[in-house]
Amino acid sequence: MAVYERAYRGYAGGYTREATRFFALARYGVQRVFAARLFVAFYAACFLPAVVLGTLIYGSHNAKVLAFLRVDPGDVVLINSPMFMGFLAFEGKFLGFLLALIVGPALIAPDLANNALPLYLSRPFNRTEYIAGKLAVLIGLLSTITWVPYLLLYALQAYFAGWEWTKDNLNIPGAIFVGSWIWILCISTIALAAPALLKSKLWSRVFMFVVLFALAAFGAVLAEGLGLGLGHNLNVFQMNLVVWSEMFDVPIGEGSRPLWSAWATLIGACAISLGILYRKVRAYEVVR
Amino acid sequence: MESVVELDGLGVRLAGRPILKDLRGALSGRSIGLLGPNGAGKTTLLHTLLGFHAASEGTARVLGRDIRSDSKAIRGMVGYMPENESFIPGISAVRFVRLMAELSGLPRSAAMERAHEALFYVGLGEARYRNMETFSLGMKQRVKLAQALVHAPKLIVLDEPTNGLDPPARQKMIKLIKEIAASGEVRLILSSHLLRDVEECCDAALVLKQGRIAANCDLEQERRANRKFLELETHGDSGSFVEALGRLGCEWASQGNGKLKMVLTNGVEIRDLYRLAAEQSVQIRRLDYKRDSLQDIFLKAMEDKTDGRL
Repeated sequence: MAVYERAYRGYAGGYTREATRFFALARYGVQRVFAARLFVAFYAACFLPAVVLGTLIYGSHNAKVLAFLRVDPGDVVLINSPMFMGFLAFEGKFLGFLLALIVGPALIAPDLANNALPLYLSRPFNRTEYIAGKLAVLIGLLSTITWVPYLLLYALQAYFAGWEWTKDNLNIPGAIFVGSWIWILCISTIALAAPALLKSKLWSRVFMFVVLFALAAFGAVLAEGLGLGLGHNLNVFQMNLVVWSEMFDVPIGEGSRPLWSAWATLIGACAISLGILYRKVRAYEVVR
Repeated sequence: MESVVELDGLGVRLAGRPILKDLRGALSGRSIGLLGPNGAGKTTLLHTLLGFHAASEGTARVLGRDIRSDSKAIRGMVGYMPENESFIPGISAVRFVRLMAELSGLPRSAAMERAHEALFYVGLGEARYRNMETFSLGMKQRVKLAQALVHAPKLIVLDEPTNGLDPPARQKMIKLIKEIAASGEVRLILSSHLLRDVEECCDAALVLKQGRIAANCDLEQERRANRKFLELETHGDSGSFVEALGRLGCEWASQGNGKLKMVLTNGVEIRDLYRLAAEQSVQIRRLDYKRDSLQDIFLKAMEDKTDGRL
């Protein structure tokens, strides 16, 4: 029978597992994000730092390349913890932040602006799964530009440099993996909370940018002007760096705060963002 | 027939205000109309049954499942068409309906197949690859219906499905709803403040007033009863005709000018009236069944005590 001649009929087939259904939402989110050519170009550009580091690693271990470039092996840049941390910081805190700024609001704001939540939440699909589906898009995209390529680069360096170097830098893979996840979770929850609050892509991007940087600037004024070191805690970028410096074993000078307070800031930012998400992601808001 | 919804002292408070108060009763029937003036609590009741709002007192069961403990399982058996304009922008209708099917647990290929079918079924087959923001209000309403039935639920909840539709679009929507109800594969709850919608589609009705049940009736039974009430307009000597009606055991009342209201007793058919009229040389020029049963029920329910208690 032709499809258009069918009358209403039931469904007798199987069902997918409940725990995996949020992946459908994530898959749709990724497809929508990559529908924009400009984003595809930006996403490709996000791999440039990793490509540069890869080239440095390869070049520093290749005598022919060094000879071709007329570089003395003694002058070769050292591939070590500060190097990995520097590249990862640029990747995560600049490009990763931009990626979250572009993608996060586009995932949630249209649903809220067009009353789509009752459609999602009237199914055997709850708020936690909805948020997990949206977070999965950001976590997936940010992972592909942070810990995934940098762990591969670490493996490449370990392969070229041998056991001695690997033994001396065993903290790096853990720092890349855990450090990336901390920043990804922090920036992803903030990038979803802002549109949940404002229901507009544009305004939530402006809000994210202004709030994060205005808070950092205000914190700097408090710290430098009034001598209140606690001011640095308003800067999530700086607090993330404090945590990373401990993990990578790379000391940072200015703006250093006790490790526990940096963790508290990052966990606090995530908790506030998740609180906003749970409060705003509802089928219907009760007007008081 | 098994109850679709059982209300067991259900009460709901929103922002501190009581919206639903001590609802008790069972809703059965293939398609149930939920009636009431604006603000009566119809949408709140539907949202509570779907788990959007928590019950502040009592409970309810949907298809035998408790709303307090089995909310997710209930939503798995229900397809919901919300009242407001709701859609996901930037994707085509078929991708939207497919996503909704996948979130309800259908595998990808089955979801795709049923999304196409559902859109053809609601009359949007040709428009299924268009983005939804380009749709008219009537088309958006039909997409909402398609997403509500794509996963083949056991119960479809339609909240004001004809809102904002022009007469032809409303007729199409009503026809679809009647077809779905007649398919026998699904039960239906239709919330509306339009008596005509409920009259045309439903065989039972729950009337809410100020958060309380004002009437809970079986429309099919009412209709059957109404088939016994007739209004006649006769020409000729109606005196001998009504006497003959009395001998058949029918109750009647004359309204003058040959107009009569009467109740058919068991065993008396319409053709008996025509035979009787012919014997008495009376012409029956008009014969109508009583048709305004739901309106009567609704108005009576609204006029009963002001707080909505029966």
